[in-house]
Amino acid sequence: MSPTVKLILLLGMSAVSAFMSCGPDAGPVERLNVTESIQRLPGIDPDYSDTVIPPNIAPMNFRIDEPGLRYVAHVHPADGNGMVISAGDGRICFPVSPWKRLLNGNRGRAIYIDIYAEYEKNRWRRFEPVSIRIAPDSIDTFLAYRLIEPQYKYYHQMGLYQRNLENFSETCFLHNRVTGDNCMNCHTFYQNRARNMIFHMRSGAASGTMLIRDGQIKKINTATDFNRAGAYAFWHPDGKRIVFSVNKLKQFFHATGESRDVLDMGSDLILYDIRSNTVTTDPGISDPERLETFPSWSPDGRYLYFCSAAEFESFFTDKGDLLYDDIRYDLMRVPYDAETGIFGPRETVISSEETGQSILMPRISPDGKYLMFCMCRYGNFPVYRPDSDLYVLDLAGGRYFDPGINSDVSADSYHSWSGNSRWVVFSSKRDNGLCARPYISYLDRDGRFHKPFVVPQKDPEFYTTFLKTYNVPEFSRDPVPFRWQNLVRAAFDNERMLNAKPDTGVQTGRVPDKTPAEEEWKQKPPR
Amino acid sequence: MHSQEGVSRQQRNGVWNFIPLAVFIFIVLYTWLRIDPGLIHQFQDPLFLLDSVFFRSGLHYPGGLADYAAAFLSQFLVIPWLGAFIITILSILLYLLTSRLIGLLSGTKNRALYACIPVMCLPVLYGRYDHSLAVDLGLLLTLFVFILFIRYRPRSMVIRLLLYLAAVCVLYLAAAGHMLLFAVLTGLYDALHSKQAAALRLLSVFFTVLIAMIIPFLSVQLLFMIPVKQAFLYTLPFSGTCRPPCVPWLLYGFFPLLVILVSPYVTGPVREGWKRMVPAGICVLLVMLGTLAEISFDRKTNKMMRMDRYACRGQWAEIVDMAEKTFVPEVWFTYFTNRALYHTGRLPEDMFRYAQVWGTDGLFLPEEYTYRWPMLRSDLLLELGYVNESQHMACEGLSQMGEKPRILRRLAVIHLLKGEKQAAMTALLKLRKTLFHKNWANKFIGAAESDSLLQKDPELKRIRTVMPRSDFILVPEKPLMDMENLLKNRDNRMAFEYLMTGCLLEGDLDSFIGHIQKINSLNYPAIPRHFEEAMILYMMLSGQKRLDLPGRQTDPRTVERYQELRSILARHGGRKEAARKELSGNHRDTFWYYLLYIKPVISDE
Repeated sequence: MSPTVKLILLLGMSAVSAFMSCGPDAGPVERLNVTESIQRLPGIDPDYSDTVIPPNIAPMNFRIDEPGLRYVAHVHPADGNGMVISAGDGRICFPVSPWKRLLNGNRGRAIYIDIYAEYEKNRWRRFEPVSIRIAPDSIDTFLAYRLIEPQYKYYHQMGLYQRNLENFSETCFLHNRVTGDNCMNCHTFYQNRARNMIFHMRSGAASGTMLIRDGQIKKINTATDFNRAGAYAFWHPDGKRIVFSVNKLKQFFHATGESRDVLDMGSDLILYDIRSNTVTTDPGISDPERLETFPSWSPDGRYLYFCSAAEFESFFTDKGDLLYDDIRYDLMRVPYDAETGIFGPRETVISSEETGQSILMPRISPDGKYLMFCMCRYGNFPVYRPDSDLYVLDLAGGRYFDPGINSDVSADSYHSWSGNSRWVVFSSKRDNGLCARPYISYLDRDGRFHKPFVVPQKDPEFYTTFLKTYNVPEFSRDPVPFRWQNLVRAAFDNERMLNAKPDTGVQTGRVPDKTPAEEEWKQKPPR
Repeated sequence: MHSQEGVSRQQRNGVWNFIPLAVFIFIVLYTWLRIDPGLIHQFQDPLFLLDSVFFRSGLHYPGGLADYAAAFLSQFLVIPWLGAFIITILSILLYLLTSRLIGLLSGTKNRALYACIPVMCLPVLYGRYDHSLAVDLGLLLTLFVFILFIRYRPRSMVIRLLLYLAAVCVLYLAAAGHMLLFAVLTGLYDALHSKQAAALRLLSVFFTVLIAMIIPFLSVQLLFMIPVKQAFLYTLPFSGTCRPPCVPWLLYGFFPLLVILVSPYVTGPVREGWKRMVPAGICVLLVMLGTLAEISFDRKTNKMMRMDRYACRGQWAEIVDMAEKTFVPEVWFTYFTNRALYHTGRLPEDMFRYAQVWGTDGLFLPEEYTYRWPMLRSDLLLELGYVNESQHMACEGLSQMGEKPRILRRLAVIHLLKGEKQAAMTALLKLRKTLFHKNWANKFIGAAESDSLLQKDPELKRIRTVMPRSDFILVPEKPLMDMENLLKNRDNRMAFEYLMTGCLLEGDLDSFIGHIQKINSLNYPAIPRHFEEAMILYMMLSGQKRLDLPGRQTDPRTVERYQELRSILARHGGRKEAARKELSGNHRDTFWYYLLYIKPVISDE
């Protein structure tokens, strides 16, 4: 068959398919001639069965993975009619308004999706109903992430995006084609509010840390005479200072399995004071004999949690071989007094010796009850570790546990809490092992996590061919407030860039006396 | 008399009318046989998906629709004759539109010759291989809209400006920077051809320019997240890669110049003189452009893509044949030659017959190729069974060049080899939406679902057998160490030959001898010639009488050649430069010659 004929046929088929799929009401399901009842759940993709979803989530469109000529899905509450969707190609797409009404009317209750497949002309199969529970708690409206190709060494195009979770609207709030093709990442919001955020850009004239505070944009160079520019960041709850890690990372490659890996050759933490434009640090968070990274404040701002391992050089053998797979990080914390700016002594919260794994990316729920973190066999880059899983530390009880939301073989890594502490979004490669997708899980009031679901897309087959990875998913309650044009202007305006000043006490080695503070922290038992 | 002049003019016109035909014949033959559209396809590797998402992606930036149409057409360039046909059709359309424009502007019927000028620019542009069909489509659309605009030009200035605004918006969305050409043409037309009062004409020109300047600016402010330069110039071929750079200016300058020259303001006598001069001048110009096409033709890229296409099709003998007939002083040339020599079983026998002036880079390509031509490195690494690094290179390609069929196919194959079916499906399902890769994708989807891939594809089966079983860490700056690691894992003949020839290229005889024992487990019928040469040299330098390779003997002819080389050197008192001329006769294709004369130069550089 010639390519032209193929094209015409394919276009025709596409048109027919588009007409058939995602159609509205196909009429009452009672009219269907159901001749078989299948005693199992139907195959659907994405698999939304038995999930708990927010009442304000966009329609959970899916594709029916069962043989058939036509399909019908009847979604309804336990005691209501709901709506009926038909599809010629198995793609079930719910209209937005009825979907919203259905969810809002059934908060805290389950809805069911009865699926029918026409396996022969006018002969239908019915499957066990798919059950989805609607949580009483809403989810933050927006999800911000970076979209990149599965990346190795070089990059070209990347962008920071924002998805409205209540519908399918996705906007790119900054793309590197307008910032000189540089690298951009680590967007960090202050308490789930995009009005205050920071992110970094690296390489080229636009490189620096962009600080957006109450809608005002400033470019900061956080590098000083004694530290590199900051990387992983976390806002202090007072909104006046930000803790950064400063890392010296190096990528390397394996011959089998996941190719990519990362070495942390030197990491410390620094504290940037927005008001005074000053960078400071403390031996407790930048011990020359330790690596410190992934900082995270407790919601009351009294503790700084971070991950720490022995210094890089200590992992070399006498023969000069690097035991890279022995590098494991402990979860640690230091007390902090925001009024005096004094750090207390560090303490180990969970030891890698105890877990046998490297503990990374701690994030505490805004209500202060749980700390979620990643654990993988070794190293500091969980997204490249297929064995990376998420764990949760009950801060009141002091025990950590597997929340039961991990995949068996692929990396589950970067995570973020919703403002109400009820939802967690995390990057998971469970779909194909290659590209991370944003998965969301519900934490109920009994402290149980529920089966995660992938962020729904208008086209239920969207993820099957999407070759970009969702990087650093972060919830926010409001949209990113700036116009990209203003941000680009600020990014290239290096004359107005703020060069952070080093804390002279640290620079000259006159680290503030710790003794009184240490005594003070000893008197206050850790939470 | 009058009648004779008329006949003579008709005859002349008849002759001129054959010129376009000659031009089109030239274009079809030149693009088909000289440029080879298949190589443009090889260079650009366009991806066109038959789905609405791909179409919508063309609406996300100005010029996206031209890119979409170009992506559709470009995929047919893979068939060289069809590609030449498409380019010729575009040329004919350009000719017809130009001709119509000349007719509308000047009323003349003798326009065939003039209309050939822009057409003859196209072979020059296509000879660079990176020329996008979107440029031609944008130009054609612009001319079409401009012809409509002056053909059905309303008298009212307000209506005209409104129509102009609509035309500019459509053109901008479809072809981005080409809108500026339309604006220039419209402005010039209003200024020079309009019969309105001077003030009105000036006002019209002012608004024409203003609107053309504002639209890209507003599009950046309100609609598209793109750099200002892209907003104004996207799809115009002024990026600076064209050689000579005047050709795009000639192509795009022709039309404004045309509007100026046929205007009533260019006085009668000048026009008359011009008319007499022009036909001959144009013929000269056309010949010059034809010659320019050949002069500016990108021979290097042509050869590189030709070799790449042969390699993709496994036509290794053709590559060796190319290497016999020609030499390009580029590392990729040696890389392709060495790969082809390996596949024809001649690498350790004959590699020094060909210029090995790049050292081990001629085997593995230098690091800069990771971002310039990652798929070349990916190809070699896959053949070596080094699938993770092949995947690495393919992913670099994905980052640098976006989704291309070749990259998607590679990723699919690698993931299937690694047993990562779901990851493979992501690429395969995408390829299934294409016209030309659909069958391939379906075959692999079927094979993946039935786990019968290795039965269906012997090459993949071979790669599976040489893939590393246990992990090691890549040392990017030391590819020979990777070859050693690959050999530790498996009996990998290709890795062995690349390691051993790499040792020879580095002049590292100790490492070479350290690995020579492996030759026994790899079933070589005899010791390859270059290996013998290295062994003999090692024995001479180390004072060893023999090397212990059970069951194998050095070919006496190689020993003889070595004795001859030594005696030539001795005749020249051991002065190697003095002996060079004589040695280059019989010994130029030996490892010894390489070590004496080529290697020191490489090392110095």
